[in-house]
Amino acid sequence: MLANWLVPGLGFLLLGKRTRGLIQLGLVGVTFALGLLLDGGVAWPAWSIRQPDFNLINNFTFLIQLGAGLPALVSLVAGLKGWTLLGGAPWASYFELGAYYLVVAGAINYFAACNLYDRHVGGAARPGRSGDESA
Amino acid sequence: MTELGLIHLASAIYLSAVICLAVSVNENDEPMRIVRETLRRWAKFMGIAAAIGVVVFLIG
Repeated sequence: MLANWLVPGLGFLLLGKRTRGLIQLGLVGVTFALGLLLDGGVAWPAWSIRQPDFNLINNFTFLIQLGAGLPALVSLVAGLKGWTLLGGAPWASYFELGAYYLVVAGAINYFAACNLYDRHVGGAARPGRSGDESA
Repeated sequence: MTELGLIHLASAIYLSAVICLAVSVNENDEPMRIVRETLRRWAKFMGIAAAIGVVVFLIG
């Protein structure tokens, strides 16, 4: 699951589910890349309620964006360093839209990690949970 | 229609398709079923979005 979070689709690839892994990698990768092209980036939010720019929506957005794994971490570091190509440009007109693409990419990867767990560790992978209760 | 509006419209179409595909891939194994469920979900998504758009246009 950790591998699948860090590199989208890697968990499925390691388990031999090549097609599923490549589809997950493509969905997350293309969506994340489009977000970066639209000047979006993963921005470090204000965590203290006492800070003037504190906004709970920004905190949730950040947590979901981190779901994209390694690309999100790279974008976060780039943003902190001021590299606009990977870290986003908050002053650009498409920044909010680009950030939304990153939210979708992160959410898809969270779904994929949960699906990996459900298929191969718990849920559907457990005996008697396959849907055929009479067997 | 401005460029900004077109990009938002294209984004709504693309992102909803990606979300529908991701959910369908997670839930199914057969390729044809994945395609069918993706299209079904995406059509519902677009239909509801269009209905909301019409309501907002009429109210606005």
